[in-house]
Amino acid sequence: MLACGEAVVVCCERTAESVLAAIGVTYLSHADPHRVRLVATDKAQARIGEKVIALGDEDDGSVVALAKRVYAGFERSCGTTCARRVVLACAADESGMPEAVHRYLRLGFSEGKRLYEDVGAPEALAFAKLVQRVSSECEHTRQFVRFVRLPDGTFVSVFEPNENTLPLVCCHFARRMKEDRFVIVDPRHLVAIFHEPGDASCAVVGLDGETAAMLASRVDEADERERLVQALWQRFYRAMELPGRGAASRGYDLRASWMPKRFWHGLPELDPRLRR
Amino acid sequence: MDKLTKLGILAEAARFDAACTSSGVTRGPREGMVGDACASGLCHSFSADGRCITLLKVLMSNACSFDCAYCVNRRGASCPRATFEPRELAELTLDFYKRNYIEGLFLSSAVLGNPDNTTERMIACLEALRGEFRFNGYVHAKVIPDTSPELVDRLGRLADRLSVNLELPSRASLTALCPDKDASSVMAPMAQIATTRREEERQLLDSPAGKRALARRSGRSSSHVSEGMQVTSAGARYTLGRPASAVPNALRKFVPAGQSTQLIIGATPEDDNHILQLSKSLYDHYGLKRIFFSAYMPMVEDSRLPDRETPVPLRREHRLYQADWLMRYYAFTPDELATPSRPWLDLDVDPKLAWALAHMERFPIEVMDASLEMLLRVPGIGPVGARRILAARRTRRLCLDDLQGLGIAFKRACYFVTCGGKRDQAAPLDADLIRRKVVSDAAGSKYNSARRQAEGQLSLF
Repeated sequence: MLACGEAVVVCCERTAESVLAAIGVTYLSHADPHRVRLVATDKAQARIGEKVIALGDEDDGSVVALAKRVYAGFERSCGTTCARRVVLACAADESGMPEAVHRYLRLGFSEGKRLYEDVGAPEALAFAKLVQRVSSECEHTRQFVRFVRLPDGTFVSVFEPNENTLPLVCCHFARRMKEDRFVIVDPRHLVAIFHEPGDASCAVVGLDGETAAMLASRVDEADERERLVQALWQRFYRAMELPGRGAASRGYDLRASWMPKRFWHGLPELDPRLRR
Repeated sequence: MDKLTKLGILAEAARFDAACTSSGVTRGPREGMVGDACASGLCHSFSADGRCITLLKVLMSNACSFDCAYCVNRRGASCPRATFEPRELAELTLDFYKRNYIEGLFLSSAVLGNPDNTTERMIACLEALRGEFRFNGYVHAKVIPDTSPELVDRLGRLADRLSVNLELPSRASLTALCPDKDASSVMAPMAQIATTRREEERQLLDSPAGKRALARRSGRSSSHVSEGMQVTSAGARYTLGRPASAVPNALRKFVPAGQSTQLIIGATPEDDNHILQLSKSLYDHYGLKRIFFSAYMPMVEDSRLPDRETPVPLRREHRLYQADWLMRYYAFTPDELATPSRPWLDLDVDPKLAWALAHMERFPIEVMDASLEMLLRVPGIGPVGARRILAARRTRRLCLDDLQGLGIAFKRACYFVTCGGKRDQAAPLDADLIRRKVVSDAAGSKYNSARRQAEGQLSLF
């Protein structure tokens, strides 16, 4: 319990579990809603007179249990669609994410089912920006992940999205490649998803830097047949181009607007080393 | 011939087909099968000219026995010829699919001997893909005019979407440029597909599976109502388009994702009003899901066709797509977009803006009480923005500043709306001033400048 009116900053990790548990802590401690804020631990800087509360490790079962309780309460109060959007928003890399989610949940607990339609509230607008950003990056992940088949039949991919999207799209890839063994590594967020043939979902695993680098290096184990498939794909890609419709004819580069250049280095269709 | 060369030839020969969507059907994973399909589709790459690449789009063969004047693969053309073996193409599709390069296969072909022979070869490829390789992903197949109805039926049970390319927008143009085709040979398979789909829908509505699916669907829609309108996705639920099929596509066995067609733009003299009227008629009578427009690229020397130096009518193609979208999702009629007396779409401004400028007496509208129909007529307000306005104004009084946060392109909409009785102070009041400013902004865009230079055309305004 906090002293009446005490200013508080709650530090949490950038995960749905940690953010939701931190919100639970603000309620349990009866903090003044106007004087409590959430920050990501790596960006935490207390203001003068602010009391700092650091959340326990996620391995601590009580954090996950509290997060589940908050999520269930929010879902009951505001509906499934709003609750799912909270999970999306929590994958955002933006430093202000924990506080934006915190404010949205508080609005939701006060408005209940009306939250879904209250799209004009400042809290809802800030939250919607996060959701939009993560949704868009999820789509990029589904679009631009490229697998390499290793000689043992495993498919490997290295993908570096701007937000932590792999845990959100793992079901998509599990459905698509239900009968295959595959792994997708995100060295930026130190996350990988693993899938075994027949499984309906993937295992989401946090990695250390060394393991992420080791897994990522496995794409270099591709054999000659794999390189032929990549060359075939590149040949097909080049054949699709129509003259008279490129960037010079349009006045802007339409390809780059659909397919941001930050992804190009991982695309075999644009890899000059594969040109045959 | 090695595989790389063959693929290069047959992909290059297929690139003029504009259709490349994998949308229209949702099919979950199945035991022992590869892949799934998602109704929203997914673009896996974009070519250097910016067109999406979703499917492995190739011809089965480019050795054509027809002699259509506009076609690079016509009988008389001198170009390298190649033909895929059915199994070879099926294997390639699977290789690309498993690496997340594509969502499936787009299979078309030149007429190899006669339409039935060609279609049988395409069917052999799809049977290998669906049977031997257990492929559960998306397949779009092209129907060749004059193919036997039995073969069209078999093809339609292997593919998700079929398309019969009309190519030329009038009977006269078809006769002039395609000596081996006639309008009835193109329309017959289109009518067959529409009839078979309608018949299947009727049977499904009477079946227990159809009734269960309908009950689930109505249950889902009532849960949406309890949570309010869909204000977060771009779904068509609150647009004003045509009614969706009563039967979920996943239950259909014949062409579950429906049919589409393609029209070549700029090879023949038909105007935009004619093309939009034709499109409307095709949507209404044959239940088409999409009509694709392909700007004619003058690659062939022929006195019946535009000169080889003629620029590609890119902007016209773009404006036709926009007009088509307005007809399908915003309930515009062809005559509202291009009238018989002014039959060409304006190239400098999009058709919705052109319509608004021509109907300034209907604006400005008040955001706080306008109907969905009227909101959707405002340039800069789309289906998502309109739905958000409807939802937000129920809970709070909106002001102009709120509109941008709701996903409205306010820079475009500001001339046409008031909010809480207030207009944007920077937006002129006079209709002529608005017209001049909007047209000059649009004409000055990089796209319009580059295209005007390439096309050498003047604005119609």
